Amino acid sequence: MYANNRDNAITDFLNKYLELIILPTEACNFRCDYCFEDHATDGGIRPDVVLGIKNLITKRAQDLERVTVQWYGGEPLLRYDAITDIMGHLQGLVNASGGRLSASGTATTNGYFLTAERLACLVKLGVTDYQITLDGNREEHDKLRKRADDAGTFNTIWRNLVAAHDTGLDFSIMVRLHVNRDNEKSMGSLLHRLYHDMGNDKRFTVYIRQLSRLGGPNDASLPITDSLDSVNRLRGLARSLGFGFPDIDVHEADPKYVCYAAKPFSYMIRPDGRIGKCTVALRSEQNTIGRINPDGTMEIDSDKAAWWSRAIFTGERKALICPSQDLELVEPPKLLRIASVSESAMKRGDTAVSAALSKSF
Amino acid sequence: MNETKQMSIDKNEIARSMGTYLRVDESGKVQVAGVAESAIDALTREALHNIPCGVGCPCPGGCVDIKQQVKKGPDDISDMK
Repeated sequence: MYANNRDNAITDFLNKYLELIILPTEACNFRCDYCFEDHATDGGIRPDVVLGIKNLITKRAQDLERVTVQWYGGEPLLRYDAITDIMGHLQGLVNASGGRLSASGTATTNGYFLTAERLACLVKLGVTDYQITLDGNREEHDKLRKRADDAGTFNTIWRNLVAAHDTGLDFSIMVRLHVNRDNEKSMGSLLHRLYHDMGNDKRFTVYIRQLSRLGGPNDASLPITDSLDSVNRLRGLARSLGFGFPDIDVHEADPKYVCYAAKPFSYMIRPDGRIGKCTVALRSEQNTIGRINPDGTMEIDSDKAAWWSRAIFTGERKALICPSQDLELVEPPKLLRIASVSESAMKRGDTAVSAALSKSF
Repeated sequence: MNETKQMSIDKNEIARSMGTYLRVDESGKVQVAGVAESAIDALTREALHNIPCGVGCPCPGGCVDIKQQVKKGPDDISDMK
């Protein structure tokens, strides 16, 4: 065997978990000024890709302890049908496992299509955690987060949030608030409105951060503020109103935080079946590591996968937190080319190599 | 000659890389060897976390800073840091 007992244990451990970040479509009904995506007009996730995901989960279910599914896009709820199809299948496997397998789901959505009826169905299927972004009260929000036809979106999103609050469902919604140069007053007003309409509802948390340039075509004209003063004032207001904060800030400073893209058992699946690692670097060829087939098999370029997870070998914090930061290494880095030699040595049972390696960590 | 040059480039990197092994089979199962001790604890904690990331996207882990550069495309990111 190539690996020692410790490494076998790690391998077993890692294979108890499967994390899928599924983009059921890369299209979106919004055209936010700061969006970095291409607003693809794809028809959404292909039926053979849905089938492949369901078959993959089925094949792995016997060995897994936990499956997590993050729905992302584009706007994922444009393909609500695919979400319910896959989550329904997953819940069936969970129910059949007698408690051995658990599953959870999250969605990063603009909230426009998240009606109370849909929320109820999704929560029942295990999609319980949501992130929805607002850029201020209606006037400021609608300046930046517009529909594709330029119409405003705030009123519909707010209606859905209030409807969610009125349910007794077990979910969490993190309201992400983007602070820009012009909207502090509007944000303050929005926080008071949130407090008035749902302030004591612990299912709602707020995450306040600066608006960022994300690589979109309008970056140069965005009302970015470099100062944290507004953010800090608004966070203070939110605290004084009693809002819960998600543990994101803890994540950033947490010495044990690992980006999903660095985890070997995390896969992003795009509507056409391509498999990647990072939900941001969608244009990077290094971020296409393989493909899923209708029978549930995955064709993975292990060298590329290893590149994304390289920090689990080196322990380098920067690459554990965000492996994309080294995307200049789009060519297989020296590290991996040498690794192939090491692999051969390990498969030969070269214990001298393993012994030398253990000293290097 | 070549070996001397290689080692002078980044001896530590080569030493670390000697321990790397990651392969993914067709079911998405991974095989690894040589995982850094400092990463095991982090991986363990994250694997047990109910929400893989909890952040959504764009994440605050620094990714936003690379988007502008990534947008240039894979052929033009040589100046990325």
